[in-house]
Amino acid sequence: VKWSLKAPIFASIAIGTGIVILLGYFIKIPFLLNLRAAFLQWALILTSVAVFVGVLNLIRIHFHKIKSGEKGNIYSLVLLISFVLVFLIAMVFGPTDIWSLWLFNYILLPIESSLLALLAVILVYAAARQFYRRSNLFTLIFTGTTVFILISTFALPGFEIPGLSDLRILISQVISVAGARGILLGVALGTIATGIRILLGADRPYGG
Amino acid sequence: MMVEINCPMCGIKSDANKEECPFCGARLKPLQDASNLDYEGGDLPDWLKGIKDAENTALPSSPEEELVPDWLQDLRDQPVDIPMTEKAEQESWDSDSQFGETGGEEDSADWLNRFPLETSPSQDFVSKDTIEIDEKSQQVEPADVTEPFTQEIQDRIAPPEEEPDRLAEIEKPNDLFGMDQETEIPEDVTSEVTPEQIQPFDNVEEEIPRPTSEVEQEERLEEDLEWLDELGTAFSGFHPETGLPIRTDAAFSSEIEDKEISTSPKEILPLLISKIETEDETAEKPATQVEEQSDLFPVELPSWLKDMRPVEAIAVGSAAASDKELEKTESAGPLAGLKGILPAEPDVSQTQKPKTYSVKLHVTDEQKYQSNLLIDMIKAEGVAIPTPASPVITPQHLLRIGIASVLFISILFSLVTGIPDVGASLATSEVSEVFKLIESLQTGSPVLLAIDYDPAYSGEMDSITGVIVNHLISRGLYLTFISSISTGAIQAEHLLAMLNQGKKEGFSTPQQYINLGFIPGEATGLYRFAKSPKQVIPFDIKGKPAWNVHNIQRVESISGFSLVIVATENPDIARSWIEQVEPLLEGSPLMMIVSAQAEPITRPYYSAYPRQVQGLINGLTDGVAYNSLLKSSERIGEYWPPYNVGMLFAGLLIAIGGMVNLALAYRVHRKKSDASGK
Repeated sequence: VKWSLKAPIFASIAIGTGIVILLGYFIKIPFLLNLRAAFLQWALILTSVAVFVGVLNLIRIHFHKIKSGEKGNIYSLVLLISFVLVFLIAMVFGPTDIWSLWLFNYILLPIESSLLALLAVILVYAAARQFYRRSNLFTLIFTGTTVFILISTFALPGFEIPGLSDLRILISQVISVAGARGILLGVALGTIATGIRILLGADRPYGG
Repeated sequence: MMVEINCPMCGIKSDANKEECPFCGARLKPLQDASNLDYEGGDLPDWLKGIKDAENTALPSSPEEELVPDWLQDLRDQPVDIPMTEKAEQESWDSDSQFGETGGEEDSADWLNRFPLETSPSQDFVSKDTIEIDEKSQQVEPADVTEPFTQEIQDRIAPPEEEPDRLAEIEKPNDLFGMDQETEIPEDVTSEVTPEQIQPFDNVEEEIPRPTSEVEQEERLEEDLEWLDELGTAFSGFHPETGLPIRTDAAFSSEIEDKEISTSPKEILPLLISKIETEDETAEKPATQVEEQSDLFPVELPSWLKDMRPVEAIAVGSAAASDKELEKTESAGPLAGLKGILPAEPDVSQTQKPKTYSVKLHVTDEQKYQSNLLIDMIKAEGVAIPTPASPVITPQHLLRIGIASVLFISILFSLVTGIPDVGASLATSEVSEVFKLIESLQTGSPVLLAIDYDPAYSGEMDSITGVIVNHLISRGLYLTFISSISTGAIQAEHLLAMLNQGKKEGFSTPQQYINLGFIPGEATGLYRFAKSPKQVIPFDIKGKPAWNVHNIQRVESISGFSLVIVATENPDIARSWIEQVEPLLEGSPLMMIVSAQAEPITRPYYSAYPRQVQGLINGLTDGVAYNSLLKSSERIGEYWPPYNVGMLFAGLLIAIGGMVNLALAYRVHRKKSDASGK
């Protein structure tokens, strides 16, 4: 069995920090609350540094792609040029300046909105092809529910089918919420289990 | 004057008119006249002439040089101290011991005289006997010298009667060759003669020529034994291995008197003969062993191995060559006229051209066919198979383009024309509660608004959030923008810029709002911000102190805000706000503005008891309803008809396309069923 001195050190730090944060929810001791606040502040600082390191790593990777002449390195070149341009504008004029807003309004926002619009078209196409790929009961339920919600949303004045609105509310606010609540409960249980495993040292995502 | 020639075998000079050598019986004149052979003519090649000339020049000038072996020549060259009296006697003996002009016997006497004969008691006997033989040989005519010479030799080899003990001691084989290890050697004799002065008798064996046939071998042995007998007689007083004189006094002779004494020359040199016979036996042994092992089964070689081994061709060639050699008659030299003489250089004289074998493989038609198949397969591997060019437009492409076109055209048509007039959606109880909540806030109260949606959802979220922000600002509330995603801060600026369009006086900062920017750390950052916002975000997005504004100076925690509104399309972000911030609000309401896709996740918190979310605005439908409550002329009203048309056509396309694809799937399934049924 490979054993390293780093493992118990890392595990003790993680377990000790987790216990301090967890006890801060239940025990109102000033020292414990201050210690927990200090740990959280360190976490925020480290996260900010991690974002900065991530940006540097992104630049390094795409720079190597351009230098090595890999296929599609033109996109890396566009990325680096865009990064330098936005960085300089935000640093010189500020993030809320008119130039920064211009970049956001006329480059970032249209691109992302267009991608989402294409996603809408692809989803419609995939739903239509669903019967060709897999023709069974679940496909019929999934596609039928989608079509019903979409069409029932259309509020044509003076044209209302009795019970249609109630059925829509039943599906969107009872059935779907029931399913979502089950998901949330599962997420909560999973989070508790993961927290306990980390506190016990069974899971060591920090390595060691 | 009589002309003499040297015998090519023994070297003794004989009469040139004689056909054979009187001493050894070798033919002096070849059967074929050498004069008829054109050795000097032009028939011989140059290289052969050169070889012959070299042989002639290399021949010894005298018979003495030709016949004297090296070891005897070495003995001659060694200086020997002989007393003057003995020396004079030796000289007289040398002069008298010559066989006329015979050099061979002269050689033997010459080198024998160089030994210190006085050390051996048998010297007198040898010298006297030799002198007698020489005297007799001088009296014999050369023409009749063969018989008396032979007789004299036999007499010399025969044991003399006057000294039987000494002869028995001399001719005893074991004593001569040192086989009798019990022989005592007197020390006084040992000191006079050293072993280095006498050549070992083992060298005698090397000088014996190997006969080519049994008859010749016996003849040659007889000849060799004659001079070896003389040699043995001369060295009768020395130990063959140690070279020391052998004890020959009367006492010692009497000790060995009873032993058998053989007088035959063959018995004198048993080791030489036995070695020769042993070699012959070892040469013949394999054949004998094969005959003895003939009961073994013969091994049958595989056919392929027989094909690979050209034994027959070689055997036939060698047999033919051996037959030719047997029929060949020697034309020159001492063996001239004899048949079956082994060639001197068989490899060089072999003139038969070796059989050549074709390198072409013998393959069958089936093997050729299979090899061609393999070659074709290998060639086919290297040939690139052109892939069929895919059509530019496939039915799937057409279907996708058709769906996009229908949606785009219908939405664009509704957006431009405003058809159909669907009217405003009815405000639900949820929307009414949010409206009442905002209306209940005091003017100037700080409201925290989190813009946590991506730019991709701006079309939906900006419309909904804009309605709420208009209401807040119209109420005179102080807005504090914050975001947990990197684009949220500028998204808020974009929202305010969109709301300011068409207005004479837009929203100003920090009088009406402040933008705190980005909170790193997701859930942890939210929790930390909720606990102490001034420590986490001390400056606004422009780098100025954020908390100096009067409306938010007294905010120490998230509960200091009168209302917290979260606008997001991400269910996870909505959950993080609810789970991390809501417990710290301490009575301040939390309101969620979410996209339609995040409603299923946020609604359970809204439907919970007690509520974790006090207000919920869900999608464009609730936004339009809220806008109807405000009686505002926001652009969200313009989006409502295209939104409805787009939803309707999307539903219809899915329904129609689903039915068509269901029919296609059924058709394919039926084809497969028919195909399998056949």
